[in-house]
Amino acid sequence: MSALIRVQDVHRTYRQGEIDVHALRGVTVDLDKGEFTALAGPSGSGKTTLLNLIGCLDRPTQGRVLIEEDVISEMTGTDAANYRLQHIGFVFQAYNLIPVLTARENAEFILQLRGVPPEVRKATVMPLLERVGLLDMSERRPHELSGGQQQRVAVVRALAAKPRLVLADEPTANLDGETSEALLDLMLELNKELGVTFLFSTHDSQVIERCRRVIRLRSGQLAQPDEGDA
Amino acid sequence: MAGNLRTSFLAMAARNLLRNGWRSGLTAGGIAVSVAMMVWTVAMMAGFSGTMVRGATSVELGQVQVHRADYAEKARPERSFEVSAAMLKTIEGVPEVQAVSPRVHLWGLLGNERRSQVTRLVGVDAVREPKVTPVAGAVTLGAWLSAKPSKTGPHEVVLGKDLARKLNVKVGSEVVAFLQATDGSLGNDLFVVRGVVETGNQLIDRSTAFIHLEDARYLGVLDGRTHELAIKTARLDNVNLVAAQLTQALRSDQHKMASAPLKVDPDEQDLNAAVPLLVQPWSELAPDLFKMVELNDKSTSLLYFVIYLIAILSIVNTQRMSAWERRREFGVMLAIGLSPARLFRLVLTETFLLALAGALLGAAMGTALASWHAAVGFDMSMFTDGGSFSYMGIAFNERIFFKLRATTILEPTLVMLVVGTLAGIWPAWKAMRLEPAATIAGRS
Repeated sequence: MSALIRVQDVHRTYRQGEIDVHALRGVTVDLDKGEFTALAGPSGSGKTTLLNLIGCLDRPTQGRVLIEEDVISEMTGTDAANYRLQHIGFVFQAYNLIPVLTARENAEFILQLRGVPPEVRKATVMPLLERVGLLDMSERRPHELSGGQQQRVAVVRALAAKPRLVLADEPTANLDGETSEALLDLMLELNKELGVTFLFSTHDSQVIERCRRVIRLRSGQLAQPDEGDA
Repeated sequence: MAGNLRTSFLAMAARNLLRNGWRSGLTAGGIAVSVAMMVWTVAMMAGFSGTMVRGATSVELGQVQVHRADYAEKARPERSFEVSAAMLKTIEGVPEVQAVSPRVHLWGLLGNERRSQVTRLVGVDAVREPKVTPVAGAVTLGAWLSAKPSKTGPHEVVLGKDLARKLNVKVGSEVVAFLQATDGSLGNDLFVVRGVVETGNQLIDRSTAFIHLEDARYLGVLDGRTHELAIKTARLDNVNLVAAQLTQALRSDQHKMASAPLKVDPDEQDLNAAVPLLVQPWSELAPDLFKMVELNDKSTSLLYFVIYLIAILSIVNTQRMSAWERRREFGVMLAIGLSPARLFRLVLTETFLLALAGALLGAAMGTALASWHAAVGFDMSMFTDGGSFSYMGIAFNERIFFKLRATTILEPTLVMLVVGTLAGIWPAWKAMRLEPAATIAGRS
C-alpha cells in the first residue's frame, strides 16, 4: 500500500493566556489507503489536534501534513474549505447535523455544495440511508431522530461524496454500547466495500478493539504503535 | 446547479429565521413599523407640501406665469406686453395647460371721501380668471365681476374682505381709484363694489381689488397690453416640463412681444425694446415656498436616519445573537466544506429575507393607512384650536389629504431593504471568520 497521509514532524502549540500549550510535539506517522485506524490516547494527549491537522481544519506550528501529494498543512481559508469539500468526510462526536435540514438534506449537503444535481444527489444518498436503516426517516429533522440515528446520518453525509478519507472524532462517545457496535459495523462494512480510509480519535476500548491499527498518543507524542487485527 | 444552491440557501435561510420565529417576528415587526411610519410620513409630507403649493398657487399665482423678462426682475407697470388671441390659443394648446388668464397689476390708492388704502388693483378677464384661480368661488358678499364690463354703467370692483372692512364699504358702495399711469399722468376712476372675496390668502384679502382687464388697461394707460399671464396646469409635479414647453411654444415669431410701442415717458423709451418673455414655474415665482417644500423633503432624510437607525440596530442585534447561538453549527458547516464566502452569503441572505418580510409588511401597512388618509384626509384639528389654520400665509383646511405615489411606497421599502441587508454584514463577517476546529471544540 502507498501512503495516503504523511504527517511529518508535526508540532502544534496553542497560546492560552500567558502559557504555551504544546498539544503535539514532533509527531511523524503515515496512513495507507483503505486503513481503518484508531487514534487512541487519554484526554489531552493530542488526538483531536492531530485529527484537525489531518482534516485541514488547523495548521501545524511546525512540520508538514500531506495527503498524497497535496501539502494540506499550508492551506488556508477557501482553499482549505475546498479541499475538505472535495476529499475529506467528517463525523463529529456531537452528531452536528444542520438542524433546519432533514436527514436526507443533511446527507446531501456536501454533494449539494459540490454542485451535484438534485436527482443525482437523491440517487446517491437514498441507498445509503436505506443501508443504515433510515429510509423511512429521511424526511425527518435531526431533533426527530435519536442520537444513534443522527450519527448514522452523519456517517452517510461523510461517505456520500466518496471522500478519500473519513475522519471521526469520538464518534461513539455519546452513544450506548449497542448503538456504538452497530455504527462500527456499518463503518467497517463501508470501509471494506468502498475502500475509504477511516481514522478515528477515540478512547473507547470497543472502538480500539475493532480497528486494524491503533496509533497511540501520549502528551502530544507517539507512544507505541500497536497493530490491531479487527 | 448554482441556481439549485441559491434556491436551497434561500430555503435554508428562511428555515433558520423560522427556528426562532418569535425573535424573527419581533424584528420583522420592528422593520415593518419603521417602513409603515416612513410611508405614512412621506405621504403626509407630500400631501402637506402639495396642499401648501396648491393653496399658494391656485389662489393667486397659478402654477406658471409669463411676464416680460424685465418685469420679472422689477415689476414696473410700463413693462407690459401684447397678448394676442393666437398667443392664448398657443398656450392653451400645450399639454397639461388647463387655463390661462391675462392680468394687469397696478398699485394705487383706493377709497372714498372718508378712508383710503394703498391697494393692489388686479385687472382680470372675468371669465378666464375663475378658470385659473378659485377667486370667483371665494365671493362671500355680492357677486364676482360681470362676464363683460359695462360700457355705460359703473365700473365694477371686487374687494378683498379685509380691504372692504378697512374701507368700511359694502356691496354697492362707490370707491375711487387713483394711481400714476404708465405715461406719467394721474389715472383715476370711479368703481362700484360688486362683491367681497375671502380667500385665506392675506395679500388678496387685505389689499387686493379685482377690476375688469379693460378697465385696468384704461386706468393705467396700457393700450391693451398685459403684465402677466397666469396659467393653471393639470398637475404640480411636472410644472417645470410644462414651463419648458411653454417657453418653446412662445419662441415663435408670431408671439414676439411689443409689436406696438407703448406711449411712455420720453426718458423711458427703452421700455419699448423687444425684451423676451419669461416663463416661470411656481418654484421660481415663490422661491420661499419652494425652499419650504425642499426643506420638508430634506427633513424626511433625518426621519429616515432616526427611524431606520432603530430598525437597523434591532436587525444587527437579532442577527448577531442568531449567529452567536449557531456558531458551532457554522463551525461544522465550514468544517465539512462550506466556504467562508458561502457562509457569509447564507447569513446575509437570512438578513435580506428578514428585511424583505418586514419591509413588505410595512409597505402594506403604511400604504393602507396612507391611502385611507389620502381618501378621507388626516384630521389636523387635534393640533389646532379647531377649524382651518394657516401656514406661511396659506390657508389649510382642518384635514390634510395625503399624497401617495409609487415612489412614496417604493423608496422607504427599498431603502429598508438595502440598509437592512447591509446591517447583516457584520454578523455575516463574524460568522465567516470563525475557526471551525476551535468553534466545534467550543473554544470560540
